[in-house]
Amino acid sequence: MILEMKNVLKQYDNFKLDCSLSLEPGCVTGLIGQNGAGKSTTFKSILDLVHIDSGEINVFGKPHTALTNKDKQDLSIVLSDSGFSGYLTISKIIPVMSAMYDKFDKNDFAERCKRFGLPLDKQIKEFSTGMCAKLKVLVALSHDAKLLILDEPTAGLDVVARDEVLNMLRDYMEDESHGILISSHISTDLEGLCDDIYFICDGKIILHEDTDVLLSDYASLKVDEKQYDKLDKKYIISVLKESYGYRCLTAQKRFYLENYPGIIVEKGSIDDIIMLKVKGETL
Amino acid sequence: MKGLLIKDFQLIFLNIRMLVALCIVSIFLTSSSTSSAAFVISYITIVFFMFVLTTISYDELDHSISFLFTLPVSRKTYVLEKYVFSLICGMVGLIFSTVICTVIGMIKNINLIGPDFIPVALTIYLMLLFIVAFMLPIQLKFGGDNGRIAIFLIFGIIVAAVYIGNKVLEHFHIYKADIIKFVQSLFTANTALIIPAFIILVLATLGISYGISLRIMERRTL
Repeated sequence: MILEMKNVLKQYDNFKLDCSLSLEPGCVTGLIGQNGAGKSTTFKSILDLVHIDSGEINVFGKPHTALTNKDKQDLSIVLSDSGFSGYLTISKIIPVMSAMYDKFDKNDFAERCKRFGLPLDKQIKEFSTGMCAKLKVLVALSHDAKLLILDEPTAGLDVVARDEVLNMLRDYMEDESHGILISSHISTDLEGLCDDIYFICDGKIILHEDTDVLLSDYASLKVDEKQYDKLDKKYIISVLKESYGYRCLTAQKRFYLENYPGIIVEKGSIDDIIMLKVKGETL
Repeated sequence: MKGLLIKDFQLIFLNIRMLVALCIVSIFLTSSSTSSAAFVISYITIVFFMFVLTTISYDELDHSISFLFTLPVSRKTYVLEKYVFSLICGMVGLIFSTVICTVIGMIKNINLIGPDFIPVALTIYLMLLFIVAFMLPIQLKFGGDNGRIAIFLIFGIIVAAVYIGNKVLEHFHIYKADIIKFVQSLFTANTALIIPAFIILVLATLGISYGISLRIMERRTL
């Protein structure tokens, strides 16, 4: 296990994080949730940027508080709201990274920056949102870390740049000892990249499932009042009232396709699942 | 720590124009007395020490400090680096001011580097380290701008405490002039011990300050 969080609790005045998750080598695990759901707090707690009240976090089999600077060379984190000082340039970052990481390849890093259209001698504060996002990912990938923790790495990127970044992450995962924990608002990014996905809502993990299962077995059922009354609800996870009747989330798509040919069964998407889990009423 | 030091020096070089301005001001403000040398040393070294505090402000800006701790940097390394950086910056300031004094001496055809230059320079360096030891924990606790407000407030409280303390002592017929005379007599009686005693005092203060800063950073949520 590269990363394990067991019953991690962090209490704020108006928010409580209560999270357990794990990440195996060779896996990409997604963490998805609304703004303020607890994704950034989860990420920050892994590196002890936020002190947890109770629970256990192990990174590379070690308690997260016992990670040495050497251990941290195998870890890369992209935070959504922070990075190198905006007053620095990429040229100035290079010697800093070189001094911090044994495996940092400065020529390769500079080459990749150029390939992604990032000027080496321009202050980072002058970069566009997309350029900042690309730089953060390039920095994270520059020193052959075993674990990448990426908080909204594709935020602000255009479609082409997003695809380039995702391809870089796929290349990175060709080494089976690597692992990625990633959060994103763009569910299609996660669908195409993640092996499994955790859904977080109000600081609690409300669902954990393999991406293949989510996409093959989950479905959104659209039914009117009559159909809803007749519906066998034993496989319904949650229900949301709509103008036409009800929208129901199920993890047994085939059961409803076979037994209720008259109802609309839409293939599960991450967006639908979030919507129904967060806004719907759990049965 | 090497990476952090490189980063901080990179940030200092952003103020290169300020350094040039410093040199020009120094040239205009000096005369042929030794006090001029003391002025140049303290003026330039203070600015170099201020650079240390500026790097903390840069670190705080846009939550950059959170990112720094995702790198192979522990809270202890970060705090230690700020103290090491202060010592280096002060030293660079001293060397830089010596060079400036020499250049000014050559331009104005005066001798600023007299026999008491080294003791004056060392005293200024130690005094500034003393102040840095006081200011660093405040900056780390309150951050860039709030830190400056906190420093003004704390200095205000100290001035008020000294004033009130003086009044209280006067009430017990212990006068400021007598205290100063007593301290002076201590120094004149043990001239050879003054500098070593001052060095020990500054090192002890830096040690205590480092301990407090470390506690502040370890408790801090980033």
